[in-house]
Amino acid sequence: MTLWYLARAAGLIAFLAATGSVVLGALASTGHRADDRSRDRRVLRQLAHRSAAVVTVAMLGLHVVLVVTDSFVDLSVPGALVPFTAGYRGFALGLGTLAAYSLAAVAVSGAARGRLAASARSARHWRALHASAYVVWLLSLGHGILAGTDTGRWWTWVLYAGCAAAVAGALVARLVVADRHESTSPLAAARRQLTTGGVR
Amino acid sequence: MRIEVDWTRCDGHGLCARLLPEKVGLDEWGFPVIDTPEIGDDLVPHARRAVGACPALALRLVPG
Amino acid sequence: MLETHPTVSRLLTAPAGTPRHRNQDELVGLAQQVRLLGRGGAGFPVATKLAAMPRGRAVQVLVNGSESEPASQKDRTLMRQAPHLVLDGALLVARALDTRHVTVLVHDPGATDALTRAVRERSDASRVRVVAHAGGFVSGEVRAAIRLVDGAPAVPPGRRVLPHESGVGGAPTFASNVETFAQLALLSSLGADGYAAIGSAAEPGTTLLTLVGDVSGPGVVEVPTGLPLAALLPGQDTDPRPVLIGGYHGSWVSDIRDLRVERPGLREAGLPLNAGVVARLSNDTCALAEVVAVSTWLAGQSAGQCGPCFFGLPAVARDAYALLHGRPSTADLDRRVAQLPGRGACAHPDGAAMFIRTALTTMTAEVEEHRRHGTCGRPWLQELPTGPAPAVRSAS
Repeated sequence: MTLWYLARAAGLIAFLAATGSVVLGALASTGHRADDRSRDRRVLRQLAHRSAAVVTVAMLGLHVVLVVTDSFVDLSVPGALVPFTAGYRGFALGLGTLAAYSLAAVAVSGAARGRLAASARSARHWRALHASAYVVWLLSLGHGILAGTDTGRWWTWVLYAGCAAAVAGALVARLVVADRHESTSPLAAARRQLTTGGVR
Repeated sequence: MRIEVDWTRCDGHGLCARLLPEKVGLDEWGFPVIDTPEIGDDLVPHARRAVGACPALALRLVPG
Repeated sequence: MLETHPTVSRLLTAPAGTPRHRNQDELVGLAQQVRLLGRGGAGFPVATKLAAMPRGRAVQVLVNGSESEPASQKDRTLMRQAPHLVLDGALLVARALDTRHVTVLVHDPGATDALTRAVRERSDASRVRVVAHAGGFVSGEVRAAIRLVDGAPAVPPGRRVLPHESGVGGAPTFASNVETFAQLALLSSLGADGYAAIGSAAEPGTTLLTLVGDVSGPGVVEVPTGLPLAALLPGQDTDPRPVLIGGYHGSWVSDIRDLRVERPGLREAGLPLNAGVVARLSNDTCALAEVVAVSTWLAGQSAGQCGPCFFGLPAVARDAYALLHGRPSTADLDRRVAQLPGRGACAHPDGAAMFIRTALTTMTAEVEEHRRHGTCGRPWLQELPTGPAPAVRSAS
């Protein structure tokens, strides 16, 4: 039973770390102000984003290993690897498996950012790929709610609602700030005209 | 090693100047000013960090 | 008009007619023997560029006639007066590289007409593509020109790409200025010895120049290389004035006594000839106002790709304007100009900085007068053109 408790704790921490990483990632492009303090805050935000991502991956690994090895629920290795084939809460676990796979892709894209986004065009693809982190987060939220043993207790609802609000808020902040930067920066406007308006 | 800026991508975020102040200063619009792009061995880890931190992916560390 | 100074007329009156075929090695050898340098701006050795080219049907030849500096007229003059010679050169190179893909990029409508007509007049040029465009200054930079031909925004890419590796349509491309191609055609017809019968030893042959302002007959001239610069600037020893060498990306210089029209020597003196514009102002115009007008034009020519150029050049132009009207300190101007070089995808900020910096250091008396009085009393006569290029004054 100890393993089972550990497995649940690891899953929960992974979800919390994922939330933190997504929020910090969404806020990474905000704060475009030309003073050293805001630059330092952005550097720290980046650092925290990457650290939270590492914690997410580590905790998820632990969660998977523990869930499979623990004997409290009968989950086989193939059942964990192939989505929606697990005997125990098949759909809910399937969401978790999908989340784990997409997280792997997001994590690899994050680690290889420098190499994958070498040109302006590939940077756009990279951004799209890395933005699948939002999908990972949604899948893990669904997995947590549907598969979580604690679901239904008051504190789980507070936790899920709080995380959802944080992610939604960060996403809105990102879209608003990106939009404002695009519309107020004269360089951004000039570059946009180059790509859309062609020859000056 | 040497740092190189892709000026068509640089947005003047200025994070490189915070992470690699030995090499990178900023002009009045926040764009990097690099007097000597050569990076000595002692600064390579810092340069890598600055490259990784660039939000616009405009900074590169290249051999030479 | 041309009797007033020692010009030759080899390029502009060359007889039409396809030059004899040369293979790549022969052409490289000829270019090497006469030390032919590219005539666009960079002055790169043609032999080196040609030797680096692979051969084959996919190879592209790009004739860059997008002369977008308002002071320069030599490319359009050449294309208008000797379009067949330009085509001869382009086809010569294409044949040597076993390809038929030739693109001529033209800025001037008259030159476009002349070239299009010339293409129709001959049977061997059916595959030559003439592309007209109206891009700004930086669109003439070779990598920008390649992107323009490919239908992309006519701005230089952020990373170094070499045309002979990836040029038009991603194919290996031999790209050079129109005059380079005309010189190659002439070289092939005359042979190395005939070609080098005139001109200096370091860069034999002739070169086209555009003379602007108070010069011996403004307009386009063809001169033998090695000609003392003073021959084009009468009265310079009795009334020495700053001379602009290399156009709006070039340098102002006061003492021209030892200078000759010859790219290697000028480069050694730190005075690149670029596209061959030589200018001198009269004593009637406000020299600083001329410089400010060109600075403002240069600022407007920033494509808006690179921050330091996009923000820096207008700031420099404003500082120069303030100096013109009596701002006592040049500290801001000096600092901003010093920060321009090396910080862009192309050499536009570098060239602009060179133009302004050398203007300030050679026109010290003018600058002093403006700092003290806010004026020099002379009007601005617009001797340095910044608008749409004026009508070409024929050189023949």
